[in-house]
Amino acid sequence: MQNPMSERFVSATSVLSGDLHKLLSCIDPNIKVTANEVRIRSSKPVIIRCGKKNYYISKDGTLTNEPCNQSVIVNGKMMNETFQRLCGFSVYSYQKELRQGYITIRGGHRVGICGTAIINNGEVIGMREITSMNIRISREIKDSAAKIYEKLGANLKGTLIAGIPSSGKTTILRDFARRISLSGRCVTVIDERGELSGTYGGMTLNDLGLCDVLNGYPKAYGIMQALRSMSPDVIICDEIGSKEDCNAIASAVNTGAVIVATVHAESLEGLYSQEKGKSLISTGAFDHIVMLKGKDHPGEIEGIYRPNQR
Amino acid sequence: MVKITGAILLIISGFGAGMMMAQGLKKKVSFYEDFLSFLNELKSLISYTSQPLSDVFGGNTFNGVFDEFSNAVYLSMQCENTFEDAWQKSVTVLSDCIPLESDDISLLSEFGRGLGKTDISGQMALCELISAKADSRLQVCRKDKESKSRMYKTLGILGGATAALLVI
Repeated sequence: MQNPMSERFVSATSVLSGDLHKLLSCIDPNIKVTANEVRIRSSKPVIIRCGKKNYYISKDGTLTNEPCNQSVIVNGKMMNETFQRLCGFSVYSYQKELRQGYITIRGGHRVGICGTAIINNGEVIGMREITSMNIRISREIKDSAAKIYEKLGANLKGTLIAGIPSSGKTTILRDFARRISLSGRCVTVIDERGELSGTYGGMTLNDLGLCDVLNGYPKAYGIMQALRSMSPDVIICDEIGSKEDCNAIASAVNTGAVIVATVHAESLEGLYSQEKGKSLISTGAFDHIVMLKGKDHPGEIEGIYRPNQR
Repeated sequence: MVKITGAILLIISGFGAGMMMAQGLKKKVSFYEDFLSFLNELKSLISYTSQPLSDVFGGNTFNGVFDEFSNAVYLSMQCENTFEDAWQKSVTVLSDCIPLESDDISLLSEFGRGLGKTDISGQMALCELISAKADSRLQVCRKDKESKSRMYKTLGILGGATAALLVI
């Protein structure tokens, strides 16, 4: 039976063109388990990233630490087919996602896309001539939120989990949501990007315990919908910070619902100094801020603070 | 006696051949009626639900000959074929069952090449274009059916009768 982490690698890379997918399916299982990203760029070698280390795949399926003559180079046909597979051969289905520059695929893996913007009236309405993609492999790590839950779960109040990209915010939030829901509270997850639940075909592929999931809803809209229809004790959101999000959170606080959310911040000072951070804290929704260490120590906590505590 | 039996069989064969040709025209008309219905259904699904094509084609949504066609496309996609390859393969299979001409196959292929490649407004424009072309082909097929069906049946009987006379 295949390792679940290995299966996640295979499912994340299933959007690649046929040739690339076959090659990557046969690589060293240890690499599959530890890989967190696969990057493809036009006319460049395919890169598999494990933490800070890069591996380059050769035509015979072996991996090297440096690019070489045998490294597989991504051509136009591979890039085009990968893009079509990524969109499920239905570009119209992903207009909003293409405007934002990423698509979440089955399993909750996020694929970032670079290309040429299509602009209309000063707004980005789409993308063409795709030049690179970054497949971020989502990992469901149960117990990643064990320490946070131990400290905050019993008398749960509004919690903001802050960190830089790839510090483990989403992975921790997923496990935290699961634990909270299993404690008997009604939890609604506003899963705008589909990364938390990995919803596909009406099924949540990640284990969110007994959470109700509003998949694909913009956060502000989803929060109000949850308050109207699901009577949540706790509302879970990933990557909040817009003005609309803050207004919705303020409304939620008035109803007594607890908000648990993540936000991008390089440090505690960074969080307090950015407009987004100030707006979130001023809603009064958050009693605790969990600061994560960073990319080099994903999922590790630097500290748990009160708002405006330094 | 043998000659008379043979003559009767020749007349029946001639009639049968004429009927088959007339049936072919009827099948073409039915095909284009199903195709227009399929296009309408597809337009609604794309514009209202924005479902990806794999869900649309796997959902037993269509009627007539396009029910089987869409299943064939779906199954081919499950074997890791791209949508365009799956569509083209299924068009080839369809043309074995229905007497499609090269223009009909070109129309289907043109649609398959564009489907899923653009945003919703682009897809709607593609569906409208193909609908207009299909409707035009349907009118031609209906006229052919009206004018040629009886002719084929009559020619079939006459051909059979002529052959029968020669035998006798």
